[in-house]
Amino acid sequence: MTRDSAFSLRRFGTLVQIELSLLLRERLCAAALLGVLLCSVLAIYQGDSQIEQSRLERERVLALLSAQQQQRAEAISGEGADAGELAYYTFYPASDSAHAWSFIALGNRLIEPAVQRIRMLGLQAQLYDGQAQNPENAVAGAFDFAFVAVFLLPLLCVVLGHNIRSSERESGRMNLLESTSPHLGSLMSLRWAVRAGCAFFAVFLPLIGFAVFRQLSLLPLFWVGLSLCCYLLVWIVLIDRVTPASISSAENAMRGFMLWLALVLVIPQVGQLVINQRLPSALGKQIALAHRQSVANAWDIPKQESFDVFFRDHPEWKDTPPVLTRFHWKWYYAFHHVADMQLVDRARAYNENMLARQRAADYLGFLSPSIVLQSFLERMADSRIERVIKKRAEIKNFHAALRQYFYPFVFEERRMSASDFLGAPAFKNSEATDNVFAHGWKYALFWFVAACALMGRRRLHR
Amino acid sequence: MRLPVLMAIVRTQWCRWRREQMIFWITSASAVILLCSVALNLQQSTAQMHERNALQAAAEQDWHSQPDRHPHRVVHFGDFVFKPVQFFARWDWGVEQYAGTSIYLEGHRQNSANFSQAAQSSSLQQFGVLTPAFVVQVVVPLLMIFLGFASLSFERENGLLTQLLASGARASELVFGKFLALYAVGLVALLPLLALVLWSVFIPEGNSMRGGMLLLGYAGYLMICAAVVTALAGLAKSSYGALMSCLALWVLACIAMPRVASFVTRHHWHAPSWVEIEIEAENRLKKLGDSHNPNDPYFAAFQEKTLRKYGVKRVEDLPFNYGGLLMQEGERLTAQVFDELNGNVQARYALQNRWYRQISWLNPLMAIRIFSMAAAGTDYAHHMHFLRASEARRFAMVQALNKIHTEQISFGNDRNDRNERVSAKVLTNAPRKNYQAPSVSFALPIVAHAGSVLLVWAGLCLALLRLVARRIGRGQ
Repeated sequence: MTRDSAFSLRRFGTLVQIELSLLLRERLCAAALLGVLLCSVLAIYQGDSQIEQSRLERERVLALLSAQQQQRAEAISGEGADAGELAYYTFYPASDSAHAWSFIALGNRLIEPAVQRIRMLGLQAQLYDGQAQNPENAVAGAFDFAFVAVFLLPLLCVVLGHNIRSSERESGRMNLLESTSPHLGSLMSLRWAVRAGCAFFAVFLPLIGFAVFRQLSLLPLFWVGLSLCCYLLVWIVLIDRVTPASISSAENAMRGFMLWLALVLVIPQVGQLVINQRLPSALGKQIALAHRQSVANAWDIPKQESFDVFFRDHPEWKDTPPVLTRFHWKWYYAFHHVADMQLVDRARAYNENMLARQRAADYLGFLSPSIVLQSFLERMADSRIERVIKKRAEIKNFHAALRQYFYPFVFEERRMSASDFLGAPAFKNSEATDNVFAHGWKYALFWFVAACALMGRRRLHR
Repeated sequence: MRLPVLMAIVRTQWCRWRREQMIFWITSASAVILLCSVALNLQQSTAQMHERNALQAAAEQDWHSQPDRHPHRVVHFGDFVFKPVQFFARWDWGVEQYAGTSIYLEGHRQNSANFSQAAQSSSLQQFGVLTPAFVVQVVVPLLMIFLGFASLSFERENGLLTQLLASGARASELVFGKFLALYAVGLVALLPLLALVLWSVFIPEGNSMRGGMLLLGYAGYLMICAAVVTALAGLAKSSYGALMSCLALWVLACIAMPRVASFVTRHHWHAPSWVEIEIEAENRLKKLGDSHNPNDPYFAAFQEKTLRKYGVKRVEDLPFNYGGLLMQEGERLTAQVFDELNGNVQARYALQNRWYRQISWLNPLMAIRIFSMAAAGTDYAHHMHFLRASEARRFAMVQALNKIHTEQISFGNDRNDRNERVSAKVLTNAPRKNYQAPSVSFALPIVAHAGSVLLVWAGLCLALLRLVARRIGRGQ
């Protein structure tokens, strides 16, 4: 018994070795494996350098702004300065967050500015400012690990696996194999396993190397590996289904590529267009228009009208003396806040609209496993619209804290000393999260079950 | 080459494709994808057009509903511009997805273009957009590979090649016949574009010259694709080998290379961010001078110069409002600094794009992308044109308002109390030039560059076909 199993283990090892050498003898397969390996290395480097560049940008901006702040503080004389004026001219940095694994999927980090400047004026007019990069350069799309995994890995599977059966038939070995091997199915499974294993490691090895080299936390690495395995499984089953032995290798390759085209390009792209059509988003621009109108109108209406609205949010300043002169900072900041108050609902609806787009995109995961993996990796890298919305909420909180800090000086007409000025709160964003489990699992499960079902059917067929 | 023989070969090839079920399915699928993209993009660009027109109309109404105001209030009220959708965006969105679509034009600063589609998108953004241009650039070549990989290799595999040659067909007729058969099928994919061009002839905002360039460019691109596929099919030992080498080329050219090239150019010619420009502008302006500070050397000199020019001792004695003049001078300086800094970034982007164009010598797909965006008027150069026109509009408007400020607001009142107002009629008449998209000639430099890449490739491919024909003629 033990001798038997040892024997079969050795036999298994030999078989794997044979399969490997068979695979690597095919020039195209070897080249494809090497190409994807190189792409994976380059993509990890690119993702990492993009994150690094954003970090450097944040540091530069932080340094520049704090230098400005220091200069302003030094200019404050002994009797203090006008807090309203200081707040008007001082910008505070509000930066985007990234964690150690964010390089894996850049997502909308390529679009969103890495750092914004916020001051005490109306928030809705500042929140959406800033362009991140050259739009023509962005058109081609990101070259990150997610691209290699989502786009290239299934292509590699098609290249390695489309002729597993058909090449045997075409070379006339099929009959021989069928008559000599009692377990043709398991031989084919072994062949798939070897090829899928090679594909997996071509994509994943560089990531392991990088994680070890950078001493990153290993749990995300595990999740990425697991998700890649699931993705591979689904693709193998699908490719195996559409490439029977009875059809020529060339036709099988075409079928594989058409499958790839449909699942990786056409379905997500059509989905994106349909989502844009169903959930149009003019709200952001409308907010910008409305905010301008509200702020400008405040100069033409009686000041008390603005104050009446403002006191609803800040009753604590109700009893400060009314403004009788043409201009007073407290009136100025009050009507800026009123503009924000009037837009609360629309700003929420705007966020809701973007989240609804993301939800709809997630639902499309039922139509294509590529959407599931892209979504999963972006969620792990925290590179989706949720991060942007969370960041905007944090900026809103920071803006509120800033106002709370400056209001006493402005409303009580207290002069601000240099140390008062430097004591203003600073923006702190929460850590980027790699929340891998939220929602995504049901799509993964769907595809896993579908793959298993297809596999089972195949077996019954035989 | 004899035309009747050529046509016979073309017809035979078509006949063979018609008989194959797989070809039928793949061709139908591609047609569906193309029609789908055309329909969705027509809908999408119309929706975008309506949305932006409505917003521009709302901004227009806001502008004209202003009460009598102090001119400087109107400078702060500012103006909104929404980027108009170009006619051929229906074919190729170009940078539209990633470029901001609205700019707030106000005094004292230049704002960024905000609210791009991509900034409001889900994770599907990474898969790109299914424009008709994308279908013809990426999907149609794949279809052509599937149709054409077996065109000569099939004959070789089955020993038909010698038979055909022996029966009097020349090798060049055979090769170019196969090439033409494939090219003709590819050209069918340009029918929607042709329809668009015909449509553009009849409507004012359509620019049929641009359409004509697009047609030419794509015709050249598809010719390259057809020639490469036919040549590889003619060179390969087996049709399967031909298919696999075509597919490998396709993956490299259409999927991997554009992304790598964009990363390399962006990484190598790094551009500063918007926030850095703003901070730098403020720092420079502060160094230049502070108009609020009476002891500021720059503005003290400016005041002295003005006083000397009008032969008066005090600013109060000037025949106009000195405060307004200061505003004009301040705005001039601000615009100068911002123009320079923005110019630097735009030059950086242009450098990235120029290098991308250089890399496109290696890859006709990149060349046709550049060509298509430029000809359709949706590339970065056109976007930059919009940005600059918007800045010109802002500057003209703000300075006109500052001039009203100088001439119609009295200095004394201005200093103590800014309650003096000017009639809204006068204020809303400040110039606000509507954006006019540039004519075709604006696109010519880039189109010519990308066009020459395509031309060189087409020439090389035809030479390659001749080479293949000679090889086949020698019986290899």
